[in-house]
Amino acid sequence: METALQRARQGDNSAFAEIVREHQGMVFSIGWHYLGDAWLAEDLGQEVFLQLYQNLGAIQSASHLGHWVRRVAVHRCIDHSRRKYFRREAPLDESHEVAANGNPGDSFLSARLRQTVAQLREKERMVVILRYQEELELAEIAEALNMPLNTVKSTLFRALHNLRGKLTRKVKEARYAFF
Amino acid sequence: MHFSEDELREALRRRDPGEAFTQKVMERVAQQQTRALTPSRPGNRFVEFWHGMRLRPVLVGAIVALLALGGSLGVVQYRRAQEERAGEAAKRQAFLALRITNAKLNHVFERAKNPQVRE
Repeated sequence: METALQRARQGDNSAFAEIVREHQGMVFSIGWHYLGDAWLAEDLGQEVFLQLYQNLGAIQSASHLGHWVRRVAVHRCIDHSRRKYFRREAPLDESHEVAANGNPGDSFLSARLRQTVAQLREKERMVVILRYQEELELAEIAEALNMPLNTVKSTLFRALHNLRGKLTRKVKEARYAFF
Repeated sequence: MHFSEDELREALRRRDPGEAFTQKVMERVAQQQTRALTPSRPGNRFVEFWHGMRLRPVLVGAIVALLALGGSLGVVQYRRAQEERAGEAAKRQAFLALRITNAKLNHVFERAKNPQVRE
């Protein structure tokens, strides 16, 4: 990745495409899980990579690149939801299927969990995504979101509690509707 | 419904948007490169300015309002100047009439004082 970064800085487009391929899963998934809309997530992802292209000179190393791309994706998601007063009530948009969908491991529970995560409050949603999608440590989440560590801990605790509550309510509603 | 952290991890695992996404990004990068390489012609500046203006209805509205205000102030000023000119002319005519009357009265007094004098 270091050589790809160097080549991309010198104007090699194929090297930049390599960088995009390496990080597009992360950027797209943050957007998709946060915004709950695959089209919006694609748009947002493209904007993130265009911003990266314009700032290639400021990227010092491959690890810095990963951090930078994640941080920009996270903040673009937050900006987007602030601009649009975006609050997901509807389930995730499944109409725009992504490459990894249809995987046998993608169970009913997984789909339910994704839909319920998309209904969490903005801050809780992003903390859950960074913790369980990106597998970041709490301190790393605090740094990425400019939040105190204790706030991250309490937000994550509250998010998981809300997630369990919402999921249980959904199952109960489904049972009532079914019988 | 209960779930484990691993199940949540599995639900939120990364999804790759595929090669189509990469292609779209590279197309936009190419567009940006072309735009950066194309020198802006001086003739285009006005068009760009106009396009920019069209996208700012509030600014355009403010400019139109300013022009209307300026125009109406101009009309008021012009009418006032015209009225002042007409007033000056009327004053000049009144002075002239007074002077003529004064001369006539002087003449009448002279004739009244010396009735023998003939013109």
